[in-house]
Amino acid sequence: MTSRQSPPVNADVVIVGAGPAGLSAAALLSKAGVNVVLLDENARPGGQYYRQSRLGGSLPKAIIGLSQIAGRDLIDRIDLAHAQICTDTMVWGVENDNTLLYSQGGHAGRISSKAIVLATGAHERVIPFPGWTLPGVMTAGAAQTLLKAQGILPGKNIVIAGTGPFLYPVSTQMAAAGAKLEAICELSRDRFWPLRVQQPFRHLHIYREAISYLAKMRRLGLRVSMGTTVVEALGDTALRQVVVAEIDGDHRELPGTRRTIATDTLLTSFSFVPNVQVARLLGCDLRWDPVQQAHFVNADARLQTSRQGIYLAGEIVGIGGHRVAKAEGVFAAASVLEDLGYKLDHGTAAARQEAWRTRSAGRQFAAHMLKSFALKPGVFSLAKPDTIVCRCESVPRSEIDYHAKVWEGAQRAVKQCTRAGMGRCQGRMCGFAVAQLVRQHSSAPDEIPMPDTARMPVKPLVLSEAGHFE
Amino acid sequence: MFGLRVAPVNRGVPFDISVNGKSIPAYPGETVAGALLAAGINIFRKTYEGDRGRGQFCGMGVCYDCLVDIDGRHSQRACMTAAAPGMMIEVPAVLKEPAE
Ligand SMILES: Cc1cc2nc3c(=O)[nH]c(=O)nc-3n(C[C@H](O)[C@H](O)[C@H](O)COP(=O)(O)OP(=O)(O)OC[C@H]3O[C@@H](n4cnc5c(N)ncnc54)[C@H](O)[C@@H]3O)c2cc1C
Ligand code: FES
Repeated sequence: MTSRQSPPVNADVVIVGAGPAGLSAAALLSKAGVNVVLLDENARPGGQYYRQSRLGGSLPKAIIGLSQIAGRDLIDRIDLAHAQICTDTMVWGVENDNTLLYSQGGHAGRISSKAIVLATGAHERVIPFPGWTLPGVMTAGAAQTLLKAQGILPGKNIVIAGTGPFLYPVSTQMAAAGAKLEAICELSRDRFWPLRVQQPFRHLHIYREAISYLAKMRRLGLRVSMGTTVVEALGDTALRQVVVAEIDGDHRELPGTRRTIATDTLLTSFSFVPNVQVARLLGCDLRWDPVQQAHFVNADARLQTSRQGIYLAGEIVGIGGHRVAKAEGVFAAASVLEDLGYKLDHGTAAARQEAWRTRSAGRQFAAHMLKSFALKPGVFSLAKPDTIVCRCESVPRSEIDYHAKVWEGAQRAVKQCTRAGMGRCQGRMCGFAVAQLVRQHSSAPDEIPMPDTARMPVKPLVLSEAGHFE
Repeated sequence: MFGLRVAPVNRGVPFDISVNGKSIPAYPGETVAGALLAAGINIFRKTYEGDRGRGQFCGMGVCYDCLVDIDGRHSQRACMTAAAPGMMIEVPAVLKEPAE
């Protein structure tokens, strides 16, 4: 185990987030001799895709694939003579353009720098349905994190429901670890979406990866039920049964197709939501993404935000996957170097060019993928009037509908009246679903919603943390 | 029993943590949520309005549904807190279960 380092008060560059994007930026900058500090809330660097083991040993490749090893390699490329990786460190506020506030182990601190790279990544998007608050129901990412970091399965019998390619790694990893997969439900009925991407020759590595997953699934005896989803989770105190059903092209349940499965674990995965809060506090402009129905952070062609000296990389730019995130880390770091007055050497310039190619191809593929798996409005009718939508404040759908009607779809008013999205998670979990339910009552449902105001702290702190600066 | 600590991996030497006064094992590096789940406990907190159970949901520090009391500190995220030898954990949902 590595010991936890406390951040210094100053650095040339501070990077928030030690996922593929933040790590690759740190590798390039530290190699160039720039003083970088990498801050991450997790106990280990790696982020989502490269998530490292928290245990004494690494997990076997046969269960979790190559991502942990690739992550290890990238972490080892960071030159620790110039870089400090501070884990268990959560950035919760900003003091000004170049000073961030963090907490680590119950103590608060501040760190100032000449440039900031935001690589805060994404978390899973969730869709409410009856019973989704029962213990035993969790996100697919929760299960994957548990397995990758601790070698623990969430349960013995697993149903997975959701949409998008993430269902494949999760289901193969769970099955390879010994779980029995009772069903894998994919909303979409389209098996051939990858073949319709433009310029398919740019994406041969993705096809290779897809084919290897399909082969693995066949070996493990896994089958994906296309055009199905979970419509209800049942159990008295914890999950006992999952009801799945077929759905139509609008993602609405088809009557008469329900099937009940006995299981102790249900994993859901409905794409991702970017972590934009720190960028918001820094005053960075956002970009509305009509396909994901979410605000991402806006970046220029050099991956600089609307604020000078603040750069971006990875999922907060747009959902793009690990290759894009890693490439953007390189690209953003090269922009930082230039702006700090360094001249890019030949190797770095070539790496930047290569990163840009990877990034553009990756973003092109991701755009096609996200469109192919876009949610249709019917999916929100999975939530019934008494279904809890906001988990923190236990707000049922009926209350949200009632106030949305009264306030004609005014997002902020509904939140204030119902407290939906105002609990501990600050709307990170239910925010997407609440916004979609409320806009159904708006006279201009296609209007771009106002982004949520960012507040400090971006996550709840223990009182002593906010009060005691080191 | 088919344990949930499945992967063949070097876990080191286990230690005990206390959950509502009862000992369960944890391995170095595990989170409190990991140790609880591996011990078959998946109901962590109770909602204040309906007394309904909640457990680990996002598993990455976002949802705040995995809250337990750790060493006297209220409402800590079980999924983000590393288990440590001798840790005293109060799981609100387990407290109310009738004695077996
Ligand atoms: C559960 C899950 C599974 C995924 N699986 C895949 C996959 O199999 N293949 C794939 O291509 N993509 C996958 N993705 C998408 C994935 O996010 C990216 O591919 C990749 O990990 C993105 O890299 P990133 O560096 O942008 O962000 P991330 O990897 O998400 O890293 C962001 C880091 O920032 C940290 N952070 C965020 N906010 C703060 C803060 N305020 N203070 C301190 N630290 C902070 C987080 O703790 C995290 O470690 C997955 C995403 C999720 C959520
Ligand atoms: S499970 Fe979501 S914060 Fe712990």
